Amino acid sequence: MSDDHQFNPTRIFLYLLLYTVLEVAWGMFFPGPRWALWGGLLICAYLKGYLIFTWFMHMKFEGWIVKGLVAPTIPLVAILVFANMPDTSFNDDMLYPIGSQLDVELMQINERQAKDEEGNLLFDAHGEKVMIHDKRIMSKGAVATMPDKTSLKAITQEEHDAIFGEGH
Amino acid sequence: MNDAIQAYDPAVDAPAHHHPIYDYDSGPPVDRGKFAIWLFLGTEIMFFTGLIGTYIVLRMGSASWPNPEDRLAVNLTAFNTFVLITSSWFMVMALQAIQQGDQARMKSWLLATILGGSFFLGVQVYEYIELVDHGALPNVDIFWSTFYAMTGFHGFHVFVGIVWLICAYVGALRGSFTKENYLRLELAGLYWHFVDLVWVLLFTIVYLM
Repeated sequence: MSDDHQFNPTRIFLYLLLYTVLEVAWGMFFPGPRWALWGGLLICAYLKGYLIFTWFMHMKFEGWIVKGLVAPTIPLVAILVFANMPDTSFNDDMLYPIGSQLDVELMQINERQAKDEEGNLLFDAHGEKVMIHDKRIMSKGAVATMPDKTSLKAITQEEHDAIFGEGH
Repeated sequence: MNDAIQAYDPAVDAPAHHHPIYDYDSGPPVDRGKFAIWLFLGTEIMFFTGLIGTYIVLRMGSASWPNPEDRLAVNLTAFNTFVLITSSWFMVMALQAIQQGDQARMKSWLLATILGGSFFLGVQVYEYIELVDHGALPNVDIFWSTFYAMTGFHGFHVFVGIVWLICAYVGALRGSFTKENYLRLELAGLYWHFVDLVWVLLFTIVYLM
């Protein structure tokens, strides 16, 4: 780092603090749908990462050799993430969600929506259905994988529709 | 004339502001240390990409995922994130101080960086102790497995960074860094900023999403 590459680190630091406050507030209090929640969080994380990488790590002032050392990681990261996409499932689109097991006798996935003790359907904090995948382990009987109930809120279907809209 | 050429040693006889150039020097035109640290950081990027990629696969493939806010102390960790970002800023200030030849300020900022990193690690250890006390062990479910894997490896990197910074601080006390020679401090700083950068992503993914 030579002297002609001076910048104001305090200004960058204040931006980092500002984005962190925005991010935490967005993550904890944003009431909207999950895609907007996650989108906002990722934008904040990107902005913070960009500031650290560009200014604090001085990449803005580096030559082509140093930039060339880091550049291959961009396609490699993309390959690693996108090559795994088939396994990430996005459960609604997957024939066999992770955690499910094909019932060899019925030839179907044993999947049902979770209910509480009173029979109310369970939804997670984002209004997504909580599913239970029953696993049949050969002939030894069914084993149910129960979701973690600490994060669940039991509401009726009518309450769900009122909050998240019908057909969500 | 011939004797003079043979006696010429560029490492000794070259003007002080010239880097000695040897005819067999085929290395890249960049500081060796900087070349090495960026090569290393490239591998580190892939290491954490592997961890985060695995997390994405497991999370998106799970039928349900707990809300992190219900399980983790987000407020405490948000404050801890402030501390780590602040320590990264301290590191930049230390480097700027030595570039201006101010040894005293450089030592102060460097010590503040070490204290900031140590505080971050201390809070993380405290968080682990509390979680384990409440039965949140890595083998309980996939949420805790991925949580401990990602934050644990990052915590180890913070620990390595603190040790590295302490070594740099000892060097600073011995007067190893000058206005003209501070590359080793810059390399330690690059690693520390990288640790900060990774935490920015992990905090978002693990604690807020």
